[in-house]
Amino acid sequence: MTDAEILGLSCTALAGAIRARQVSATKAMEATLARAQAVQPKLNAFLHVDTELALDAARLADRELARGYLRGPLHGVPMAHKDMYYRKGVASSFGGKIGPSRPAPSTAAVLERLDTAGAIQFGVLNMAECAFGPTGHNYHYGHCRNAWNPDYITGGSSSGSGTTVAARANFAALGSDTGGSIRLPATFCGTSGIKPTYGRVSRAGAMPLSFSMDTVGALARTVEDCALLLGTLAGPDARDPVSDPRPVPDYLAGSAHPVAGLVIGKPRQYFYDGCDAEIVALMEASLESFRRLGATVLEVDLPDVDSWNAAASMIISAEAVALHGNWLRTRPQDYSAQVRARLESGLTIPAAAYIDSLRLRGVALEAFCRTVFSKVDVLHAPVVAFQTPTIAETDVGGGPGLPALMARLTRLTRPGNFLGVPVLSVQAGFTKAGMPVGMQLLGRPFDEATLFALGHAYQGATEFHRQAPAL
Amino acid sequence: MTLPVSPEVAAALVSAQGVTPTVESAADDARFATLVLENSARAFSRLAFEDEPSGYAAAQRRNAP
Repeated sequence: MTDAEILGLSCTALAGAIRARQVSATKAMEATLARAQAVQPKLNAFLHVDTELALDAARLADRELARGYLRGPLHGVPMAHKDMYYRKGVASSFGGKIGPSRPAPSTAAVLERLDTAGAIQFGVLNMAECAFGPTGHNYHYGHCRNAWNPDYITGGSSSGSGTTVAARANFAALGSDTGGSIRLPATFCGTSGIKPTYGRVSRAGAMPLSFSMDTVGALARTVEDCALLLGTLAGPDARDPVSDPRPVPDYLAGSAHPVAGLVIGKPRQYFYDGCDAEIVALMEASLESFRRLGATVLEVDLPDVDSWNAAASMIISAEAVALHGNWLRTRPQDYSAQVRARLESGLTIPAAAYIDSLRLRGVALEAFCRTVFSKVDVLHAPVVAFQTPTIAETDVGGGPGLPALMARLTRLTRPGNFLGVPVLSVQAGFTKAGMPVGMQLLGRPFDEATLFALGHAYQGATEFHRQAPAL
Repeated sequence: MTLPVSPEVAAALVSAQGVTPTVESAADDARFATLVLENSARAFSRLAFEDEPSGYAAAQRRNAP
């Protein structure tokens, strides 16, 4: 297999090829490292690459396989993740200067699970500072750039995750999603992304931003990859107080379930307000694909989503500034103007409004499930209502354009975080400008399996996920 | 009906918590607080006396497949 053929494989396919000894873990790692080095000057996506450690781990993986020992379903697969997951003895940057000044005392639960499954981490990725930015700008390490066109934003906060997976320089990456940080880079960079149900994946050892809303998920080339990864990452963890105890289904096997007969909801309100005509057309085309697969599309009314968005903003802002308060008071110069401004605004949220926002969450989830999931199995919507902006257009720093930009970018993703429901982002085509566009599928709490079945069936009927940027 | 948060009030709140705002950041803080309080007021007014944050976890359990 050539390097290009290896790099063109999905994470699931590469894992299968390594297991079958069709390609060695060492060869896969060498190809990945070379690709990472080649794209880095254009994308600024890697903060650090551990070449020697990664190659040593890959050689060990090959020796283990030669002895008949398979660590798990990701044995030998190279991966790099945004720099916010603790690795014992290593200091994570959090995409800025506010990373811990001491080495992490323990390894993040999600890294432990990937290690156990056999994945090999070869580096850490650029990200929005403190995961508190939806564009991919980074004023400390340089802006991360979109593999489809380096003038355009990657989306954030999992900026390096999206663009390296799209660029075929990474087989899959962890992401975190508090207000859209998996789905935005997935849609802007043309990858798949899963934001799981709140509590489905342990957050232990992942840098917190907003403990009521933080979720850890993954970005990958295909929905099938996302299913494989979530099956690895999900499950109870005593280290995370909100970790859910229920058993983890076989998401990978479930992704092959037929989708005929499922009902897909198209929202009558909110998600299409002011939506770009090309994006509307791509959403319609994706719904038509689902119809051809045997699903039914039904228009549904939504409850008062605008108020949820406001409440979500208050929760995130108030919790973020509570976590960062000491540093904001003592080391304000170590934050970029943008993150400092966003944190500062959290200090204006009254305690009663913060608590009311939390009280509203359960009421909103009940209303959403009653209104939507009594009629349909999933809700289908665009991830963003406008075409990918350029880095220059969105380079507002901490200036007066910041609040409006943040609100505009996360308007369609934040409701999923407020509700805490699982959301799958899937490529739905390209604009005339050649930039990818994604749809999102929102499911019932803990029903990631239905999302994977629909997304996998859609990718079986379309080719968007197979297209790679010409870097 | 909610009234706007003034930049002076926002600046006072921020300063009282040990962070030094600028004139510009206080104006942004005021706009942010005004917007989110205004957009949430109606929903908050409909909350039942007994609703509490832990209702979320219960709603998750009730609505899981």
